[in-house]
Amino acid sequence: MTNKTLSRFVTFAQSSYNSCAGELIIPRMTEQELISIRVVFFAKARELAAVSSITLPIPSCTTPHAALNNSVLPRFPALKPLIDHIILAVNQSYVSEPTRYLQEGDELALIPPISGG
Amino acid sequence: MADEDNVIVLTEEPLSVDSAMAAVSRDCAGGVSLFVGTTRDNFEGKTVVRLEYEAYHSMAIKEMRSLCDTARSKWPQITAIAIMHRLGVVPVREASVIIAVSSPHRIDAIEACHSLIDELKARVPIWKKEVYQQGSQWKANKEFKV
Repeated sequence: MTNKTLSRFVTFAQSSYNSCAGELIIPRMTEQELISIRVVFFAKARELAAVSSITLPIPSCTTPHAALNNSVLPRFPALKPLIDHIILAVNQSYVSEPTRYLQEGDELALIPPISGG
Repeated sequence: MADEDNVIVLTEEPLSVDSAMAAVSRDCAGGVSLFVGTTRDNFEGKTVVRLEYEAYHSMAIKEMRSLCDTARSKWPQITAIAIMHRLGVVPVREASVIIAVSSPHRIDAIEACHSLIDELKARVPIWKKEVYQQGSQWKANKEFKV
């Protein structure tokens, strides 16, 4: 990215901040603003990922499931066999449809089938 | 309802039925219903050596509080509720979970206790790993639904 496009991108990113659902259309082929989320892994997901939590940069305007598929899975391919069985939680609440975009600082949890009791 | 009327405990220490009973006993309550879940020593013919529990601690507490609220809206006569779950290594035969509910008359306590253990197994993010003589396995509750 040249300095000129970078500066245009920064201007654009600032103008589009917090307006994920607004009228602004993000052009393809340009970088999106990144936000930082915390991802937490439990039980089998923790064992497969070999980590219990990480901080992960993701594009803004990303749903929890998109973050899982586009950002978490590519980094932890060992999770693939488990993925159909995982339910997501954001900030300690199960994700239900329709969902919202993740925000800076959100905690995204990968919840494999539970077995308490 | 005071805060001490919904008692939520996650602990690595052994659970005590007496302390669950004491947590919900009240002068105005004519009955206490208790459920104690204990660990089994076998699964499909394999001998279980030990069980290991882990929790998404902050969310488990939040979900257990929410279970209390739901139970109280269904059975408004409930006096007190205790939900206690053990974490870490739990030897076979020991209690992994205790639910205690008190109410003025027995039916509310019995029905709420039954519902609370079913909902806990369906919603509260806690996991159990069975360790066998050879290998181990993360279990899944058939009630799991969100």
